[in-house]
Amino acid sequence: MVSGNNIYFSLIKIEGYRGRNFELKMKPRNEHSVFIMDGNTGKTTAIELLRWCFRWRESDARGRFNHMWHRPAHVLDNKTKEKQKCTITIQFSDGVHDYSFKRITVGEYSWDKDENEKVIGDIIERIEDILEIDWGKEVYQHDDVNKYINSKFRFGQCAEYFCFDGEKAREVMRCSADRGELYKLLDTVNQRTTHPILNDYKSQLEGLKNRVYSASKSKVTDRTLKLNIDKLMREEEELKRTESEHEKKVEETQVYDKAIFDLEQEITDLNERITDTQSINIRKRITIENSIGNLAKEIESIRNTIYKNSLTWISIDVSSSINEIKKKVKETGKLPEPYREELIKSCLEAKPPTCQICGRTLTSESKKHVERLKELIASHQVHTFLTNEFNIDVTSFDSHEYNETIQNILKEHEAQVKQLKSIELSDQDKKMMAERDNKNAELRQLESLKRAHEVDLDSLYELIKEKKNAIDELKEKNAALEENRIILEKIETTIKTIAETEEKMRKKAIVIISEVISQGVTSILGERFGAKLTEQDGLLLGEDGYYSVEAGGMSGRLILTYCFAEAMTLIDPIIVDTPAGNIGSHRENLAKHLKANHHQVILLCLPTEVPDFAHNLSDEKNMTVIDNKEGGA
Amino acid sequence: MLDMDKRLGHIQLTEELYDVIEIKSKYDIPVEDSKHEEPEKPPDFDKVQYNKKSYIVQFDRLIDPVIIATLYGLYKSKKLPPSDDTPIQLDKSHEFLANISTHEDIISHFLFCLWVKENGYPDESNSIIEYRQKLYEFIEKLLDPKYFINVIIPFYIKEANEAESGTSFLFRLRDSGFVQLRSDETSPEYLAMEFAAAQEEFIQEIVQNLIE
Repeated sequence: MVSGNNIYFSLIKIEGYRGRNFELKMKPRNEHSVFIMDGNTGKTTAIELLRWCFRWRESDARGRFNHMWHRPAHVLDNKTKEKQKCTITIQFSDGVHDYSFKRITVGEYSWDKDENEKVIGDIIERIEDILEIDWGKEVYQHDDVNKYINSKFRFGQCAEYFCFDGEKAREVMRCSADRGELYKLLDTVNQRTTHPILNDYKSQLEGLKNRVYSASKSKVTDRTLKLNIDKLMREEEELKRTESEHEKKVEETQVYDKAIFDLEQEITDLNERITDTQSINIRKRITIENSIGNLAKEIESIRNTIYKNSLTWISIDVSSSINEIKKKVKETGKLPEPYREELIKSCLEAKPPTCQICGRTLTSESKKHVERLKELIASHQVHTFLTNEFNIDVTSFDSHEYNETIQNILKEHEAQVKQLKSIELSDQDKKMMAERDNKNAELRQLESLKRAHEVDLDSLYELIKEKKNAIDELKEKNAALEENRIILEKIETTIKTIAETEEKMRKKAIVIISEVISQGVTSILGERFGAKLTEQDGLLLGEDGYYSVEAGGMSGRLILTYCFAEAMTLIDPIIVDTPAGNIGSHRENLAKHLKANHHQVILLCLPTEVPDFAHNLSDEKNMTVIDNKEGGA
Repeated sequence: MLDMDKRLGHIQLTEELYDVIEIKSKYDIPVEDSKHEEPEKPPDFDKVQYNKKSYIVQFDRLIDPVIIATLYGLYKSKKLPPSDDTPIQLDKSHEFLANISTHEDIISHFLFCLWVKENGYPDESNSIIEYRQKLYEFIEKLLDPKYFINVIIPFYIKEANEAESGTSFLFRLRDSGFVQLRSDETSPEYLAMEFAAAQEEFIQEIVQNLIE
């Protein structure tokens, strides 16, 4: 990959996209370029087009163009009725070669509405990407363009940041301040710190593994072994799909978390408004509602206890009675007979059969009598049952007491419900209460959806474990792989090493990025300020050693987002749209910082931003005024 | 005493009791988002209330409702189980792994008392030898784990599912998980009282009667 420090943009030409037609011709290398563009002349369009071109390859680009809060937005000119052809040309150099990127989009804009009454918008016929290197010496087309640019320059990974605007700054601020959105910020950092070549290596290794399986399969004649290898390959594919599904579900869980968090905030705000209301009736109502809620919880708790202790329902003090019955049976029936098995056995087994008590030889009738006696002897188990004392632990479960308690609570509940119904609320109060009830119902629904989602997540996790075990077993059992076992083990080890290396690099990179951002913040805002980036807390601004999501105020946090953007980009140039915004007194410092830290700053600014921002980057006579020429190609 | 520490295996259950076991084992999540089949809901079923955990989930072990059902069936029917070893088949079955030796002992002794009530004490019989034979045979059966699992338990579960009028104990046990802020024959407290009443009646009629 080429060092981003040598990248230099020389031209951005927009023809037709969203009705914009202008050319941004940059000053020579090592000079900054300021383009003065009035409101609604295409500044945001320029930024968003750059992001769109570098992030999405040709085949994935349809419906991916965003414009401010419109996601997706139309990319064609919505004032042109006929078929149109829009082109963006971006020329840049890496100090060695000159590159000319072009994206051509052909289509029509339709104002007709679909079955959902939504305007259809862009009907794109085709999108075509072309990359010329050194004025045609080498040419790439279609998806190869994006592949080339991203493997060589990684523009796609950082286009959101080297093309920076107020909307992106606000998004970064929101993500850094909102625990539910933190994962987006950390995802960005993750992408920044992960080199795409590692994914390439991983794919190549997976490919090699499959080739080894195929080669092993081709060598064996045993059909069962062949089928086993096929099964192994299928299981590995399925495992990959399941892991990917699991990852998606984890992200979806975070979306649920965010939605629940937001809704809980809304309910809290609403409850505060309700509490703050001067309406006596509402206060009364809330008190009674809380009381009713507590009564319901109490009943629930008692019923839970009843079932939790269900075995204590068997609450009987009958041990002595049962033992008395057993004693009476034993005494009146002289049961069980004394254990005489040995005696009977020796009587019958003697030669000839002889009574062991009196010594007389047994007649055939006596012998039959003794044999009948043998059948009447209690077995050891029966003997034990009849002779042992029965004992049962006495528990104290009073079902009547529980019932009475619940009845009393229900009576009180009924009384309170009656009281609640008698309270008259004003229309406004009723509206607020209804809104709160609806939001609570919505929250319960969301929570139940999330729980179900988590059950799916657990199932997927279990499935992944199962599949891994199955794969290990198949590998163990498959003799056909024995020959290539060492290669396969080395492949697994390498894949694992890459994953571990990625993780280590990521953690180290976060520390370095945190330091870089902090230095940037200090250089703009002054020594009292710093910044911290951690996995735990995200991006925080620090003032006098105190780090939080609120430190520094709006202007300080905007500066923080600029520094974050600089840390996220992989190339030197930075293209900024309308920078001043709410930066307040730090404008000059920000401008000086950008000038000092970049060889090329391309500024798209409003006329009002010239005096206290743009002049730090360029003399007024070198600034270019850009007028948009309406009408497309 | 039998050694019941081993796997109990499959126990035959009526559909209602099977549903109770399923609720206990699976319904920790709201049913509307569950992929599992819902048991029949009462007519005034409130979805909002049901989003909470069912009371049935509170049973300590999966086997506990089976023990309660078996004892209730014994108390209510006051019948001896069939002497035939043929396993009794019910609508469904479920596998259990539990130690129920304590409750097996209780049930065995109650059945012993019931047997004595029906057959009298030894001095009331015409032939002590016949009495002894029958009693020993009966006790041997009580102590046979297979007979206990395949005959005694399903026999009394079936009895617990009989209703003199209205709905059976097990039917109402199944629906008791949905009960809201009212108290009726489907409420847990009512079922506990019903069990206690049947138990008290059995002890008075069978056990105490034998002593007097």
